[in-house]
Amino acid sequence: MAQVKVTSPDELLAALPHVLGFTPTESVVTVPLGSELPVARIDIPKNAEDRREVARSLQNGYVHHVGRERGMLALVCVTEDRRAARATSEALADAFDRIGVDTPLRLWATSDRWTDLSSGKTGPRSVESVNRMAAEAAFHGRLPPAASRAALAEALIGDPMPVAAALGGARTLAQQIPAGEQHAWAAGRLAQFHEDGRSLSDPEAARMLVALESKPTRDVLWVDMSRGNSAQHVELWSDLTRRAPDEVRAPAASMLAFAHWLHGEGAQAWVALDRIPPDTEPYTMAALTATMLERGAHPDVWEDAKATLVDSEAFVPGRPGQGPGRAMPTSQPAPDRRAPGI
Amino acid sequence: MDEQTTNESVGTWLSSLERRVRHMLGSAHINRPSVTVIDWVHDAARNPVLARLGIDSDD
Repeated sequence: MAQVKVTSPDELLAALPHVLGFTPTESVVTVPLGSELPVARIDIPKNAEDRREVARSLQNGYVHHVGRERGMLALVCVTEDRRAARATSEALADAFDRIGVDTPLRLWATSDRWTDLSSGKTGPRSVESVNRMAAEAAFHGRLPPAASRAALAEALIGDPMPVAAALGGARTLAQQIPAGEQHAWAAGRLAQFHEDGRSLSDPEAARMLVALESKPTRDVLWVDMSRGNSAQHVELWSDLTRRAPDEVRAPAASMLAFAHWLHGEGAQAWVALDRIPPDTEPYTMAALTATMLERGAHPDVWEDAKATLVDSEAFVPGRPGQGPGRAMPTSQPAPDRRAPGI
Repeated sequence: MDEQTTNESVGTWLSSLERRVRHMLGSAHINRPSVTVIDWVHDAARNPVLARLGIDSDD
């Protein structure tokens, strides 16, 4: 997919919603210049203590991605508070300099103007740039951004009643059939979704959510994920997270969060984790995904880890619906361990 | 190979993967994130290309 070319601060600001998937407000956004560093967004800190914490968090995330040559980032503070923008921009510029990242472009943006904090140049934010960036994004097949980060969260809230009504039948069925049959059905239904993209009916959704409660079944669906099919997994698990009643939502929301992370979408992954009901038993997959997100881990970690394990432990997971791959010497799967806070 | 063996293999594989990922991240523990939640975007294709850094005012 071609990258969008911007030639002014106004255009850069207009491009940000399409990069993030939502329109940022009261935020700091870091945008790589001429490198493959990741983009990051964080709430703009309002006091010195929070600025130090934000600087530390961004340093800890970026330091893993900086290579031998110095990196370059644009720092964009989107806020109506000029003092917060200036103080944050200076604090982050110093913090990035210490880990080998230059910040030659530092902008402050309000809802209607931008200011270059280094040169003092200023200019209006234009509708023309907003429209041009929207047209470019649409041309490249990207979905329109959400109006806000909160709107991303709201989009994951659906009506759980139809699936709730089918849960009893799904549980009865799960008790009546061998575990292997349930496992094979779930893997086959995922394979079918990959083929035709057809949404699960309410009874199918209920059966899939019940099947996911079995960790061996969930694991087979999990290892099917790759950077190549993450968009399809996002589509499937978004749908199920929206429709899942509280009692069966944690596994689906965790799968969705992991798929979003694999797709490079940090905010959407956090929002998915937030859909896990607070009184749910700690769920290791959610905690592991949260750690990846917190550390700014690149999705290639997943493919690298799979490749390394394939080399060293002689296991190639089979595609769902296509039977197993080669097996390594067996032992019992590790039980899901409790993780603090999730 | 029966279904049970397959399931156990995948479970064991994921447990190993989890340990390995944590090792790569330098993290020995799973923690709930601190108050500073960062939204990372790891997709170079989405990054805008700045045609030039000598950006002029639109005024």
